[in-house]
Amino acid sequence: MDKSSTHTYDSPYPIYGMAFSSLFERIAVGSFIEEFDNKIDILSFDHHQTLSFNPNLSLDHPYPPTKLMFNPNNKSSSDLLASSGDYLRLWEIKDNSFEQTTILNNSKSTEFSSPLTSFDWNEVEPRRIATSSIDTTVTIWDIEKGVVETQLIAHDKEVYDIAWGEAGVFASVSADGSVRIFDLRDKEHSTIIYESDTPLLRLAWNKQDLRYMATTLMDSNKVIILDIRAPTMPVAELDRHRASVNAIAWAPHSCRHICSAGDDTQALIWELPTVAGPNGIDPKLAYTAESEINQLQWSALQPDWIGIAFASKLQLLRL
Amino acid sequence: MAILIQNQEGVPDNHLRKQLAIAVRSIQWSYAIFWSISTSQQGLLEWSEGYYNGEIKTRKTMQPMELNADNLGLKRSEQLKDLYESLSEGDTDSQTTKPSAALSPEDLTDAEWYYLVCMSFTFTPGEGLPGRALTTGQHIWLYNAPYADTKVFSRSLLSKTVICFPFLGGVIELGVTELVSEDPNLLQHVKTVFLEFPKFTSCEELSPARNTDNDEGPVCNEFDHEVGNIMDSEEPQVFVHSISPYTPKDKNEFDHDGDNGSPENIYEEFKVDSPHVSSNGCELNHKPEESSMMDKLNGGASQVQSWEFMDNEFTNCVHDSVNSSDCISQTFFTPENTISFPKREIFDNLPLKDLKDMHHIKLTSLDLDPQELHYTRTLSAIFKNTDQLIGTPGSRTGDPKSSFIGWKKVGLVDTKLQHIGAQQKMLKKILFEVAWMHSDCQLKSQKKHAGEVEPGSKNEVDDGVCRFLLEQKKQKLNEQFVFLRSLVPSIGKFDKESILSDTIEYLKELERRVDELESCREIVEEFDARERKKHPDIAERTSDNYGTRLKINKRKACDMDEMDPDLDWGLPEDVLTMDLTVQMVGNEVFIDIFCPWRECLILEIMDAVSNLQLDAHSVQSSTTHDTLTLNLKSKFKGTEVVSEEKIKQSIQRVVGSY
Repeated sequence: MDKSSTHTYDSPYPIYGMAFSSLFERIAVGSFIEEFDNKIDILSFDHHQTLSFNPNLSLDHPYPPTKLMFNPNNKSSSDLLASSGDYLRLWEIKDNSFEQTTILNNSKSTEFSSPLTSFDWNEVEPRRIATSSIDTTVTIWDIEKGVVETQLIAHDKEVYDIAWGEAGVFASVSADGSVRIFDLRDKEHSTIIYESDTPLLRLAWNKQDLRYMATTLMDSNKVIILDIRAPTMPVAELDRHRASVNAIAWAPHSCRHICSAGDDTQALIWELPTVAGPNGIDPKLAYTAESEINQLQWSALQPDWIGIAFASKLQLLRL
Repeated sequence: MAILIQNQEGVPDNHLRKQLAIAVRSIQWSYAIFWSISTSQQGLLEWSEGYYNGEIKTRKTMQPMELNADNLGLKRSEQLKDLYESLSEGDTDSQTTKPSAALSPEDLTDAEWYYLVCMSFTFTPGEGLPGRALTTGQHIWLYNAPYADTKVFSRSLLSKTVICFPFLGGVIELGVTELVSEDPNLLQHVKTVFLEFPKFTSCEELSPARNTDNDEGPVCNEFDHEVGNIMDSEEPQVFVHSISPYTPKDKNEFDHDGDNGSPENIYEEFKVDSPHVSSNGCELNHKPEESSMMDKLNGGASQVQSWEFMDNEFTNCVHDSVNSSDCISQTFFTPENTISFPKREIFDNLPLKDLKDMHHIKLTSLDLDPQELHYTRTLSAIFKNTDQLIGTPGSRTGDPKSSFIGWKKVGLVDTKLQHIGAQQKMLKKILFEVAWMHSDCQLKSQKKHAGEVEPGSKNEVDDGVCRFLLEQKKQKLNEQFVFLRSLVPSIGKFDKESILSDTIEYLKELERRVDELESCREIVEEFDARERKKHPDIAERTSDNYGTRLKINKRKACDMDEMDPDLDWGLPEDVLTMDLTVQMVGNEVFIDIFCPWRECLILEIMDAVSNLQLDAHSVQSSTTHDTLTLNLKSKFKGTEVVSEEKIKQSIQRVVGSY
């Protein structure tokens, strides 16, 4: 990537899903078209150092992908991309071609899968992917074998997001307003570490410091920071957004930094202080986009890049 | 880099470290730290030097030669410092590039971790134990630190007893993992060590320590060379300056000396000196140490009094030390001779063990005072250099400009974004609507945007989704109502209420008809039975076997099975399948006929109906498989009302007359 501070890519359609490859300078963007003909486009930098799209790397996706993610812990040379929607799909992305390797259907009984709201790829155990569904369940896949490892009824209502903590521990948020932690070694129990009256939409686990996770509420400008050792009481509420928060991402390389983006068109970077002041926490840095920011990803490969999506634009911001 | 930083602080670290080492080992405590005024931020106390004297887990040496306890301790402290620096630089490969970082995090005991983490702390004047000690100028003896107020001592996880006292514009901190109640003698002893140590360095006992320094690698050797060059002129001044700023050797310093006494002055002096110090970097030389000590001892007694930032106790202590040097050197020799490395199993069962073991999701009820959290946060923070990734924008020269700008508080004036009708529009679509797209393909054509439905509700928190979900349900309901309406023929209006009430009426009517059909069938069956006795029906039985006929026929066939099979032949099947219902609702008469078809049957029926003074206003008929289905709605023409039974009879007559 070159030295300019911001890259913009104009997509022909509105964008929601977005993912950075952990292996290459490669970004996947998922369209949001309310029809049956969505796309996942793979972008990379051309010789002019601009973000461009290779027509050979346009993947057909029936309905809009609800989440995109590359294999976070890639040992092999092949770059695997996962997408969720009706099914969990796996694609192998090459330089000039792709291959849909697997379609995983989480329903045991029928050919129809319950719609998936999100998923997370286990960084420590890359064969594991956990999906969350509106049918209140969470499914743990062994993608090497292509089988369901476990399926749990995780919540009372729709499960909206899921995040791995370590190899066998994950957390999920739901329309029932709770954050629950599950340990695959003890599937009978889950721990509720936070409960709200409002549905919780997004969840991010701090991979650099597993005691902390962040969640967002429906129609709320707050980012709730939770300490798993202190259930029910958030350690911090970041409330400087002037409209609802749509996306959150912890820094991949720092345990104290988190980025959030929302309807106020801003992406804010927060540094969690050692001591919270009486007036709450102010963000450190801010970026203002042209419209509501819907998506936010922080590149693990190049941690000084943050990707945001608003309307039909993808922007790479330099820290 | 590391050395440079230390030098800029103006305190000769190796010398100081030796002082700390002597002090802490003489009392067998766990660690000693010197907090000095930061060069980058005025008034801030930061880590300057330390000596670790606690338990050691894994020992790694860079060279095979044997070291005595002296060297080991100094080396360990050095290694810990290096480890901290390599960790805090955030470079994962720094351990390979930096040979001095011989330790890796897993080699450390809990106490060493604590020591390491302390390096990340800074204190403003009056903050924390060191800050307080500096501002008050008094020593502070903190007994049972873990239970202390977090305002007093925020790093309360490990050390049970901590002492802080001001020293050279900074603060010396000593800690031990055991409970030690306040002991003025011990304190005095420690203070004495710090003042008398330089004299002691000339003794042979400490020469191994110096050797250690020489063994530390090419960097140190280089320094020794430089020392040789500049030793006679500048170096003593610099050293003297840093250890006792009031020894006049230099004009510049002399000026300072006049109003010396506040930490700020010291700070400035250090700043002036720092170029010398950093370029020379020769704290290692002990000759200047000696001379400086001599200077100090010579002029000390009178000048010590003027140290405003030293408390009385210290001053007394200085007097003592000057007056009784014999006694002091004894104190020093004793620990040197007797202390082997204290290996006490005192660090077991410490909270750190848990903290390091992050695999446990421990929902402990730790006091959540953020001060407490600092320790644990720092522990992980030192693995990542957070400050470097997100620096002040534009501060990194040569780097591309950041897309981000510093966040500024925006007042309520900016109301542009206050009222956004549809919040989290896209996110909600993804979470709620896409799911529906999959589960109900119909929805895809109905591009209704949840957020755009009736904005302006007061209770906005739940409203968005509630409205959205309601809309989803509504759409489903509407579709079902449309379907229902298509099933019920007699519905006139399109609103849901009438659809429902009409459906209820329709269902009731259907029930009535079922009843009537049942009773009607009985009649027909009786009739059939009579007929069949004469003409046994083979056809019916066949149909039963194949099961292709209507249910009614099936039943009849079953019934007939009970009859005499011998009689079952030759009856025309048309007679068997006649159903007739007549229903009167007020002036209206509904006639349903289900019977074998023949030519002119409908006409004959219509004639019969007409003869009964009925005016048919709606007739539906169909013929399939030689069967006639006729629904007839009629009204009585006149006032004369014919009974249902009579209508039935006359129609039966028509149908039956072939």
